[in-house]
Amino acid sequence: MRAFVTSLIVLAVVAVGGNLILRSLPFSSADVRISEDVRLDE
Amino acid sequence: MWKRNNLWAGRALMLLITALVLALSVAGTGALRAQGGDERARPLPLDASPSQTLEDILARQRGEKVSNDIRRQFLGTDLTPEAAREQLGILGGASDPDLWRRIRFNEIDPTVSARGPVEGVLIQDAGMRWLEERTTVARNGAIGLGGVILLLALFFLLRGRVRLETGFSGVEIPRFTEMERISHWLLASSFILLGLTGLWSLYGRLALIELIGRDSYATVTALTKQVHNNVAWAFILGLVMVFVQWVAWNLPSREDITWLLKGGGLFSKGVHVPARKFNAGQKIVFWLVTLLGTSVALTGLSLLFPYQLPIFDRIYAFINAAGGLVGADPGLPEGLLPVEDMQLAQLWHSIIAMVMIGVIFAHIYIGTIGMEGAFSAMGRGKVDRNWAREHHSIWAEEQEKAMGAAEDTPPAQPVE
Repeated sequence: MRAFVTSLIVLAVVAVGGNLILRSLPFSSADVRISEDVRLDE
Repeated sequence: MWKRNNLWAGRALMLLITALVLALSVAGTGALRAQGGDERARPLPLDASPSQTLEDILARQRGEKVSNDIRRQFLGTDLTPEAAREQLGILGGASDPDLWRRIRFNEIDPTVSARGPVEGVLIQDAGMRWLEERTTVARNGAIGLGGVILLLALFFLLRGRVRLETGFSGVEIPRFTEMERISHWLLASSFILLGLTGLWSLYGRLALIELIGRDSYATVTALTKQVHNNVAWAFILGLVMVFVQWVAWNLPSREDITWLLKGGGLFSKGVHVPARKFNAGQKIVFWLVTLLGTSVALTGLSLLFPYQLPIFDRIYAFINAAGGLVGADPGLPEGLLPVEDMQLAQLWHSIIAMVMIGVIFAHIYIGTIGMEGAFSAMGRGKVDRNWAREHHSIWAEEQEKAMGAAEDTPPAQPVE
């Protein structure tokens, strides 16, 4: 049980940490802010 | 006689499962070849008829090959590139068939403002084929996974639960360390989340959107996309951790041949085949998870970073070059558009994930309801001594010797 709970904590930490890193990149489909930077008239 | 019949039935069942997995893979590969064979590499044959008729349009909508002569000839007379640029301005494109037909046949070279590797691709024929192949993968995947579940149910009905024939001894042997179990559960829980969210992505628009409504579907899909993209890192970490800890135990050994020939004793009561820490069946699962997991992770990364990590163009080029070295010509298309590469990655990602889900169904079955006493190995890290002797006798003997040696060793005396 302890191993299972620990694995879930690791999963959450890695997923959130990975998301924070991805959001700092200028590309990737995990970054939902990408649409804010696109201007079709440029 | 009963045992012999059961043994043959078991072998037939294993053959059927193997054939199913292979068929899924081969069907997927065929789909990818067809998808990769873009019109640029093999132009459609043009027939002599120049007319564009309703039959032509309907046939094209059915996916049949129809002459493009008439469409290629009637591209408008007064459409200059400047005029085209005007129409595609910031107010959006006008619905001008002449314009789009020119774009379709590369007769004008429009300027586009969006930045990125796919900026100049306004119409992509292969996109429709990808959509069709995606539907085919979804349909075949559902059939395959349904087949695996049916086979497991059939096996359970015919064989029943694999019981511990010598009963529980009450003495437990350590089976997996805390770190091994954390790694396993990290891989397992991330895979389940990825599987559920991936299946949602694949089947949502096909089967679920009408059930829960479009607004709810959009909300849930946005959430599942975020879960799928970010849990992927945990899956990759779990895959690496499991591989590093277990690869040495999963190298092939002589006992594996006997184990496979006897079906691991799973199909006949009273038959126990000697095995080390991992038997041949577990080794097959290990290597399938390692190889397919790596493949699904690589294509997933390609999808996670759109157009940044093209993978199939390089693989096709490598296969063509390797084929050339031995005098073969695989003829795989090279110079794929970035979006084509992503379409191939998506198809391959889905196919491999489906095969993995099928394999894991079998793994979960045998680790839970399929075999008495098996779950405690991953649940508590310990197994009953009789379970170890029945299913992993070589490993059990080594463990018991080591435990006996430890008990016989006198406690260390402090140095004066």
